[in-house]
Amino acid sequence: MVLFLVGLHALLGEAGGMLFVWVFIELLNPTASRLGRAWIVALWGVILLFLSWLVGGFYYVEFYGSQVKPVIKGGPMPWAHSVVIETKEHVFLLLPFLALAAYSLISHQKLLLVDDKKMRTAVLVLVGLVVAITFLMAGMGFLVSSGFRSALETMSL
Amino acid sequence: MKNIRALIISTNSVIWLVVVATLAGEISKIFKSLLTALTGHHWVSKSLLSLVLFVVIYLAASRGKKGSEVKPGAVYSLVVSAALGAAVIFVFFLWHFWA
Repeated sequence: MVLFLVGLHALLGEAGGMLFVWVFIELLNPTASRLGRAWIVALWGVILLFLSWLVGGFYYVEFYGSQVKPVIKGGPMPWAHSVVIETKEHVFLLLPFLALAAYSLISHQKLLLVDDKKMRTAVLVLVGLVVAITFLMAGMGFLVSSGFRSALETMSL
Repeated sequence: MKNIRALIISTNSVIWLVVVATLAGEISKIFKSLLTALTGHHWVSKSLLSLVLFVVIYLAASRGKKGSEVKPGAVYSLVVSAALGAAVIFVFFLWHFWA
């Protein structure tokens, strides 16, 4: 169950991030049809990130605190919890709202983004930030898993 | 969300709510206990408060004002807030661990 939840949380989050990479590419040289795709893809990205929030949150509340955290803190990489997870669980909270803002801007501005280069650049930067934070979450997740694995290895020796 | 101006205000507010609530929860045991008492887990309470604040501020900022005009600077304010807020959270926990 635990592995499934972690995997599902990561899958949903990274799929959401990849969708925003797609949005970024569509916005680089926008046309009406590219903006139409960007809008739909961004919407799906928002949905996946909110689902990742729910799944990750359930895992964190029900399993991480009791089964994973004490192992990491007792192992050779206690910072994997004290710095990495603590940062990850709070920075993640910004992500769904930033993604929603990016989607809403694309939906609202629509064809204005074709001609308004300054606004298009601003939206691109926001979408780029969503992508960057999503991949940062994946990297941090890897560090936490590594902290757990190294602690288990230490216990088995 | 149709009112972009209200959306940017509410998103910026949530970003800083998360930062303040995160730091306050680590500094003040009483505040963390309050968060825990709300839903049974401090992180769930922060998640819930973020959602509620987002909706409340969006609705309040939307009242009686048109939201169609947004300048690029407003979008950049989100980027700066998020980047700065994330950095503050990371540096805080780094300091907290090493102190």
